[in-house]
Amino acid sequence: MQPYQNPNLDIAGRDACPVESMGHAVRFSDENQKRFAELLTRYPTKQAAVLPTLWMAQEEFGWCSTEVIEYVAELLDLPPSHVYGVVSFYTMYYRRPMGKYHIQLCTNISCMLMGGETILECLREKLGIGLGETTPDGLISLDEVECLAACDIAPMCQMNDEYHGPFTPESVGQFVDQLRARGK
Amino acid sequence: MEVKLLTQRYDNPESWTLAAYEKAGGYQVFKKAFAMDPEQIINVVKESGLRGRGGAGFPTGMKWGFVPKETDKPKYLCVNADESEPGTFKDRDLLTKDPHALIEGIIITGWAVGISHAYIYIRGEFGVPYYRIRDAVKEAYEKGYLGRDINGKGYSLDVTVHRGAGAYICGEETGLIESLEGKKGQPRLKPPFPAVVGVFGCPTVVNNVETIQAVPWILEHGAEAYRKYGTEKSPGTKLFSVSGHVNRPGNYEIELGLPCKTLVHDLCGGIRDGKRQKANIVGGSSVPVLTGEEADAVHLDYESCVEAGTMLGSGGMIVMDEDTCMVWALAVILKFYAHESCGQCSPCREGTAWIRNLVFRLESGHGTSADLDKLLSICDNMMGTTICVLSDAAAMPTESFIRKFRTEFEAHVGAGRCPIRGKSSHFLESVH
Amino acid sequence: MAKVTIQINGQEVQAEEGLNLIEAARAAGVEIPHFCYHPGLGVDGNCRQCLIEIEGVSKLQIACNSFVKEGLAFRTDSDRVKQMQAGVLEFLFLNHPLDCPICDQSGECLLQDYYMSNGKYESRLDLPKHHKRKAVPVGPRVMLDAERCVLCTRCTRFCDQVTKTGELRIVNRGYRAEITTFPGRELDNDYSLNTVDICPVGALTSRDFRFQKRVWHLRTAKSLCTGCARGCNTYLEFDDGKAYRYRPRENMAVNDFWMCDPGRVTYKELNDNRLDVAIVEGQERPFHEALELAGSWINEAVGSGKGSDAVVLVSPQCSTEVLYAAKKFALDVLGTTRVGGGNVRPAGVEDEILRRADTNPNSRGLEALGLTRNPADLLSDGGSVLLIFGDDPIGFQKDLADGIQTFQRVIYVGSNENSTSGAAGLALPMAPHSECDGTFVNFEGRVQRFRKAFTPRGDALWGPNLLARIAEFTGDEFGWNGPKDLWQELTSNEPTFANLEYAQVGDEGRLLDAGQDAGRDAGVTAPASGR
Repeated sequence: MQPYQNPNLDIAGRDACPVESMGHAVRFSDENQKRFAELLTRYPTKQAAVLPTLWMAQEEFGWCSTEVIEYVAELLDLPPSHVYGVVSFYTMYYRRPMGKYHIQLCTNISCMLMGGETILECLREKLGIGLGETTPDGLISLDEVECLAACDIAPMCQMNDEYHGPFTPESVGQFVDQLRARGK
Repeated sequence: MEVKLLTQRYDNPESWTLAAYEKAGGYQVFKKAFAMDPEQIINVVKESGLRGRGGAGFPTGMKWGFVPKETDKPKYLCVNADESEPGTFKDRDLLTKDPHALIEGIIITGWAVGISHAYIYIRGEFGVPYYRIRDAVKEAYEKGYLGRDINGKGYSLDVTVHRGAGAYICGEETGLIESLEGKKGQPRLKPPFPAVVGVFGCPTVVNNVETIQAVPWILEHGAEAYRKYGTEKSPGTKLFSVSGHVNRPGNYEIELGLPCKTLVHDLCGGIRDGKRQKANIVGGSSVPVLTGEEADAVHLDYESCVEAGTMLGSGGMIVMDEDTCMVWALAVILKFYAHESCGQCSPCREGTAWIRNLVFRLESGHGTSADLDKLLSICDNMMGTTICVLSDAAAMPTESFIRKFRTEFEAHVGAGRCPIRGKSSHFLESVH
Repeated sequence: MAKVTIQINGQEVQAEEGLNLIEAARAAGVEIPHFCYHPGLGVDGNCRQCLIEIEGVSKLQIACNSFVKEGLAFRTDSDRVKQMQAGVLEFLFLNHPLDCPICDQSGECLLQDYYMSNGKYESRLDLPKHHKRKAVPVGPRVMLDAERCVLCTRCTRFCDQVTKTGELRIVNRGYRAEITTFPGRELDNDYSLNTVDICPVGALTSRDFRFQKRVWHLRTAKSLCTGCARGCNTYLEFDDGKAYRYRPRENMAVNDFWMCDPGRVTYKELNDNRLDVAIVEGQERPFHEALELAGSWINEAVGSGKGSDAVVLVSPQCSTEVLYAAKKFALDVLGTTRVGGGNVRPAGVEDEILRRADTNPNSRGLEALGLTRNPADLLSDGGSVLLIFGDDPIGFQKDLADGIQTFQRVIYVGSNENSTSGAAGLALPMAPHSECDGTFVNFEGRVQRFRKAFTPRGDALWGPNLLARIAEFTGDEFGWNGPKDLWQELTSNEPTFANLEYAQVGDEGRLLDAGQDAGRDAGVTAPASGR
């Protein structure tokens, strides 16, 4: 019998919301500067552009480091803490470097009813990593995620911006193999 | 049976393109609407009895009517495409397969309410639906259906697609507004209501994708035609997303009032492997669960669902077969609410995690029977005490799971483990 | 605003229309527990502690976001309200570390207070608590304990709305939500310690005050900050002849609910480096000997017909009472009109919130008594005896030392040892504003009172009394029967202060030229700024 474990234990002692540093300042490419200027015309306030600007930044720089947060805050005349709060609130802004392929397996009710728990085990075993981790070659990151509005293909996952499913233990293994081939 | 009003164009080739939409007769209704007085349009929508399809079921025409006529402020429309209620995936298909119908609905709504700018707030996880609606908006601008002086009527309307970034609470209308303003998506105190003080401090209408998408059909065919479908108090059709242990999961557009039994056992082909339906959550994970028997007896309209002790919600139906452990199912559901509570109100912030942890412990077989009454009492303190209803959305399933499947919870206590699955679910320890 | 009739717990009361129900109930003597609402920061509605039952409304409503209108009736004492208030408290305590024995907020903590008044439920917490960061120096003056935090956002709203610096933020969602700063940045604005005042629990504590004193040992006097010409209203908290801290005292006409960090540390001058004995030529001397010496120096000067060349240098650091007594001493005892003074300090930081560039608490008082003179001019011709009251002219303006040295005898009367007291042949200890009653006139001309916290330290005396004791050796009739007596004389002799009785000055202060309407913009007085 497995003793009950406090689900909170894994986050005790950590920083409130850890964000890693890239070690260098960032600046939008000329194209994104243009896109950013256009973006501002779509909203009556600068602050409203926080989410889309972060999206652009994540697209260009890969993830939202402390430098990215400071840059976005500066562009939008906001205190960096505001942008930091926003980054911490939403699940899709990465605060650390991610693998080339980000697998986010749904562990909400419909996917779990259809065997998502087994799929998670298969993924962990196949990739040799746990949730919140990236394979040593930097190719694949694994996370769990809440309902992605694709319960008709449960159990399913999101891989970057694609949806994949329904998985069986066999097909999820093949899926990982395909990703590895794609990444070569 | 299925009635395809909103989903009629789904099977057309490249249905998401402007060409395909126009070929199917699209972008004609808004011209008809432009010939009407805005007040007339609001009245047609009121008469149609269309109710908000996002979950709350508030009468749409009435919501539009709350927006002040005389104001020097711009008025905004927020289209709620943040579809996140577990079990719900109807808006995904509407956006993917028929985005121009949404745009036409926005134009008509915009004309009726006097909107100057509409924001389509789409959940960040949506990839293809986002590209489709983004491209559709671009096409509509190029064709002159959006932008300045639409159709030479002197009416200008901008539409911006705004991506969320992963937060269930942004589906709550004031959470959405906060998020759109570039903040954390924490729901606002009401009053004031968005119709008066909404996004950027201006009058704002927030409507679900399905609601807006029903508007062109209603304007084209009239309120009476719409009322031919559905029931007296719940007219029209509704999209149901069915998932879980059914043979044919998917989206089904049905007349409101259809027996749930017909949807599950006929349209969806019944329970897989010929098993028994143990439980059914008819309206997304936030509504109280029904037993299989209760589900087979309920009709799918707003009033019948309330009579049966549940809610129609967003139409995200989750079906569970006889092998499902209800304690485990509740644990999975509560993991979600603890993860998604915005953290603002004390009862929700603390309560969602507390009841989750108690149910985790019960699932592992280490709970006590006193935990059950404790859970009910905590749920009581969580209901009706917060700014938005996320707290209630966690408490309602908990209360109904315990009340309807209490023996299963007690069996876990007695066995010291899960007697149904035979193991405890160790994934629950790695809570994200 | 119009008064209307409402019912609180069945009792009819008159209340201001539009006032929120927390304030309306408070005015009627009913406390509604709350954490996030603060009159200086507005309604946020997140803590849910102020749930009440409004007649005709099925759901419980939060009192902070419900407002007085005619005929409104609500209950704070129904079973349903009591259950929910206890329920909300239970949620707040769920992950609270219950470390009251080592928590500095103990004794002034709303969690403690409300548990006793509205909680008292049986504990049913049998799960491990969720842990957060503890003892985080979130800024140079503020310490954070995230486990004690109830996430009411008072502090973040303060930094957003009042200082507009936005250092503090709640990050993460749900039960993991936590107060923090952006990585690598600190809470380091000039008003950061206000977050400690408004924090209703022990999450934010003052690094200066923490572990210094249990708050139930502290006593409180209504006082004033002397850091600048604003004259922020304060509570001076003390025990056993020692000041421990200032907290801002609400005055909507002066400082709202706030005070600045640099001002707040000025309490230290009341303890440290005090001149509390008489010093003659660098040596500590018995007080009466020193007074006698002062008397003999003055007799010498006046008796030999040189009285008129004595000089009295006063300072805008002195209270109005000291200034008045010094002026009178110059005219009546010394027989000189060379009395006055002015600012000797460098300009301070001025901002749009509270801070003034003039770092003297009583420049306007000095002016109102007609004593504003350039110190260098006043000293320029030298003389027999120089009496210096307060401040540190030599320490702040080196070149004044030359002028001071041209006097044969220099007597310094002040509260702290400094360059000037060291240069004077005789230094006499005067009670600072913590040790006597008195007034300052702030930059707007608002006369404000400070109250005696404790008896003067060492041999220190209230300034006017000190002069009276010297006058005993010169044979002059001089002195008052305490500050009130002096104030009465002052208000009848000094036209600018005419008719300003203590009662009229009150706790909110009173403008010098205000006529009958003065003080009406002063706000209601809350029991403490933290509430």
